[in-house]
Amino acid sequence: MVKRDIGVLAYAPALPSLRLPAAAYRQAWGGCQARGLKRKAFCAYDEDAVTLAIAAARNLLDQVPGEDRFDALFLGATSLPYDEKPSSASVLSALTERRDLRVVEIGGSTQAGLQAVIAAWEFCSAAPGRRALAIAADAPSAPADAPYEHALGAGAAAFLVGTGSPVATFEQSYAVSRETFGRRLRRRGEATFQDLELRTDDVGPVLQDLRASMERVPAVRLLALGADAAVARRAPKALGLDEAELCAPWPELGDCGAALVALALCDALDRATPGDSLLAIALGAGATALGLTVAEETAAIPRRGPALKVFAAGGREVDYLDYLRHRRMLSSRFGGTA
Amino acid sequence: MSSYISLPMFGANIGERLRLEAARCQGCSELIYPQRPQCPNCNGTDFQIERLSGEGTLYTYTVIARGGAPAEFDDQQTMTGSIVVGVVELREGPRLMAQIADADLETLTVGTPLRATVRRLYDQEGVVRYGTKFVPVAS
Repeated sequence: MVKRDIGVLAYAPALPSLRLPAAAYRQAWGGCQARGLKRKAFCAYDEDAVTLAIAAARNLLDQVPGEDRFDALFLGATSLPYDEKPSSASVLSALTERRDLRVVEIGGSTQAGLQAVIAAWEFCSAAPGRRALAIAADAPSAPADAPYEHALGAGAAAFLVGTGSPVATFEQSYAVSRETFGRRLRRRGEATFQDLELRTDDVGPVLQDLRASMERVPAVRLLALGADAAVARRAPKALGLDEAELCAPWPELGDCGAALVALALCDALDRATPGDSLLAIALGAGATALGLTVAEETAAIPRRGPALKVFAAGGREVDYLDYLRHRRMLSSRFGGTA
Repeated sequence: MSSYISLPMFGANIGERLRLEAARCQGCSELIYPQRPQCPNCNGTDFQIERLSGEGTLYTYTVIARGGAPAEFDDQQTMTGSIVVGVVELREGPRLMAQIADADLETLTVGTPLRATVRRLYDQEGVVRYGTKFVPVAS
């Protein structure tokens, strides 16, 4: 790929309005199966991956008034309401009256969020002057009695990609693919995950493959990881990145599906200082990694939106019964439309 | 009771519903939302579309208790309790009626600053209807 100093011109997270502490699971079930989780962000009754995607994009576009031209929209998500009928068109309709641009949806695994960012980079690389909006949004669901439900949260992040005065430029991307069998499985038409109760280690081999795919492990100061606490403990060493500062917001947000790595990238960009190198890694039936370098001068597009930690600290905390109601788990319509 | 809106009708004014597009009368400059075929002020029919900011204040509101909401909203009401509906006075002038989401009834008052947000309205005929609601602006 021809490198043309394409990068992230602006970025913004969005989180749903409600929070559930891990203690709620301990009270309801005698334990929280999401080890290391403090609390999670989750969708109110009227929120979903689409509304979160719109919220993140609006948070972003509010930062760059007059700079909000984009030529394509890439949406990475696994929990959109339709298998066929592009939710990305709904997102676009909420952002602009323009119709003369490309919308692309990427799904299939929790890598989708980072894959959307890379697709935006490649779209911009193909022709000078293009800009693209990449959005990762997700709100995965599982049955209330499934242990893996305890971790599931929701969130979104948006990135305006192009040339100009990037906050951070793209350097390289890596990908490994591996067929896996286990808990992150959802057949077409199903609203919730299945758990095959296989406890084979899917992550270790993927991290090995990823390290092998990176010819030389780049010097990384900030590692943005879309993974749970257990993986976050082992991944830096497995990748030879022990010295990197870890940005892994899972304990405060929960498993936000394809959006988790994008939120981790927002966190890394929030913390970055000029010249820093970043590596974002998404895991899920393989791995996708994206390396960036933070601009020496980041004042060109001042960041006026709140940082991820401000969003994470906000929200209204509710009890487990309210959680079940808002997530429609007590509704006879649960599972009809996710 | 249902306030049924057909999908073609819903889709025809998606710009108003999702982007808060108002019509500026080219005869008298009146800003009209929801859009109408004829200006209520001067009867003009020539309009320019303008996007509203989505910022406003709560002009008045009501709380619909259980059993009082239209059929499309009955599941929402069963799951979440009372539904708050308000008249929002937008910064640009027009007033519109919308659900007030994420509202704390202990603190919600007339004059509360609000901002527009896109949320799910309801599911009907297998289609998720998205539209604009308003949420209190955090102070």
